[in-house]
Amino acid sequence: MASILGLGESDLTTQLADTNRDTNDLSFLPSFYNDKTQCELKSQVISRALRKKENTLLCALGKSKCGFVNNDLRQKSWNTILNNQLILYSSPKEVNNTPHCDEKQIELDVRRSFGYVKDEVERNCLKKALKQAIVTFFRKYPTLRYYQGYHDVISVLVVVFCLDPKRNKISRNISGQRRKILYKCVEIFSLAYLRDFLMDSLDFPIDQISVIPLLIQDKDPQLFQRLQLDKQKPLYAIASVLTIFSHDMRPDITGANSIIFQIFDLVLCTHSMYTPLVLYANIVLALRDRINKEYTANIGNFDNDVDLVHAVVQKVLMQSINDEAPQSRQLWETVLDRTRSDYSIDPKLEKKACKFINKTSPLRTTASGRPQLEINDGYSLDKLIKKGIVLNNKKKDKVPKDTDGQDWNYDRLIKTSLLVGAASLALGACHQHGSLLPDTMATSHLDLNRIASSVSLVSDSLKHIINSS
Amino acid sequence: MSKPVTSIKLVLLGEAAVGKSSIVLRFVSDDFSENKEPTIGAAFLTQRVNINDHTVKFEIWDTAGQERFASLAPMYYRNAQAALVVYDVTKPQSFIKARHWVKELHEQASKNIIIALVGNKVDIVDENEEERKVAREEAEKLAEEEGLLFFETSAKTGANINEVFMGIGEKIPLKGPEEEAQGSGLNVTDDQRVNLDSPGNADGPAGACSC
Repeated sequence: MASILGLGESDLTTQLADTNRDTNDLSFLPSFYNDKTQCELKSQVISRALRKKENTLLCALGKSKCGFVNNDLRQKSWNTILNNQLILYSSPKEVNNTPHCDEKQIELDVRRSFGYVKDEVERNCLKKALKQAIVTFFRKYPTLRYYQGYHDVISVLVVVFCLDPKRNKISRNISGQRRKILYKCVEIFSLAYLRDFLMDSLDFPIDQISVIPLLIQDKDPQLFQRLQLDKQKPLYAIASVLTIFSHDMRPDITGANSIIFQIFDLVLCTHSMYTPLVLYANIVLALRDRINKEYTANIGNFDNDVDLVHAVVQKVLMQSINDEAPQSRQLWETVLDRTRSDYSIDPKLEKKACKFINKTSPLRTTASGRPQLEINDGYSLDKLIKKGIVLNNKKKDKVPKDTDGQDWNYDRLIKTSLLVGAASLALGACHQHGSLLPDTMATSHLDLNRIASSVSLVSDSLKHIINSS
Repeated sequence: MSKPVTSIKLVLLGEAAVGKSSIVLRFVSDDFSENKEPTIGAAFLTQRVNINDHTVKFEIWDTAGQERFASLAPMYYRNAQAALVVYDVTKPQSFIKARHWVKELHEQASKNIIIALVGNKVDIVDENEEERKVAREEAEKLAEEEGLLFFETSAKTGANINEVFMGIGEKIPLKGPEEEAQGSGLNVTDDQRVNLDSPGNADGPAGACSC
């Protein structure tokens, strides 16, 4: 098909691999190529990247226009990317049948899921898969806590992995093999990306949403002032952030390339939990005129500014970003396009964020925008989680005078595994940088950042070890 | 001439899945959804009702029921003039939780807050009395001791839902004509809004409004 149109998949790969090309820009394709043709061509390149195990290219494709195009390719791509993102060498307990303390809540929320799926058999099949995936995960990690909204996130993975690509419909019977892949992806995604939300306290996600004001201040100081983001945390963002927008938009079960799938593509391919925060900031910025208008119209309607801002932003967003909003798709396309080109976090901003983000947070470890982290075993991960709780409790007890460094007292195991992880990141970045293949997506500008940040991570870790021993 | 408008900030509290959002959906849109999705964080909605010659605008903060979101609740009940503490008449645990919320509100919220204790899902009990796990008398006793309004409701059938809000509206001191000035700006807002479903209930809700 591609060659008939005069451009073979390898040509397209080369074009995409052009170092100077914006990954989001497919404009080098002949203008008579419509979106459908572009997507068909892109599918072929994704298949090739999967076949050839070209992971850097795969990620570049996932974070460009249309993401992974369809759920068949998405299953394979997510599986590949997640398994490269966090390498778990062994698990703490392979099978644990002790019920988790949150299973009652899980049951309640699963029961209320997929209400939009008309076919009862399909609906029940999805619910069953969702419940099994969630319960399996929590029984394996009893220290983690379930939160309302986690079921929305996992629903997206369930829909993607339950799609029968041949029929383009939800499979009524998911094979054991596919189930295993799904559980593994749920495990890695939860551990690497959602860990903050699964902690014992809401402080962790609240710390995360505190990054949003920094992003808005950077781009629109006036809006920052208006929303009083110097004084109040944008708690109205909590549902969107906790669910990576899956509470606002339902995953489509007909195989369509829904926005929510493309958002997840972007998060996975940027390896970053900053991405949902950037998306949220960009949505607010895209809606600033409406927010300003509503704000002005409602001054005087509220007793206090906290309620005014919260109500105005939540209302404007609710009317704009969900499935039912008529302009939603177009708005999301614009915001996704913007985010695809500006997802990377300015080092200065990251430094500011690090002052209040827990050291064990995915934002500073497993989903910080760096491509890979190896965790030696589930035990060190468990220790990481417990350390996060201790650090958070200390922070709560303490006047926020000295937030940096002092309470960093990892035991040797954690220090070592972090060091090993950081060193492997540095090595990986150097290695990648030095051996770019001609048909591999070149990301030289990113590599330099990665080397710099990895080196600083290594030196930070060394400092901590020296200080605490 | 437009009627005087009084705004009431109202918060809903209660255990997960007792029907808080369903009560709001019934009140605001006169609608019901069998498997309503859980609320995460909090949802904000508004509704106006006419009480005598006054318009009361409810600013409703519908909170998440899961325990881990409870730490956000103070932000929503702070400055609230009214609260609905909701439990499920078929779930004894939810009534225990309701007691906790009443206690917390009395300790932490504004002194003059009007609290309504609401036992939801009476439709289940109406069909089969054996399903009732929280006796009406017990709830009435709590309401009397703590000075609460008390209603048993069904968001599913709509039974008693408007009465809860009307009851609250009647207990809140309404604005006199001299305080109208502040309320007049509302009309501008209302014209600009994108319409939510507006219920055609003549006696109760008077159409949703902006913020």
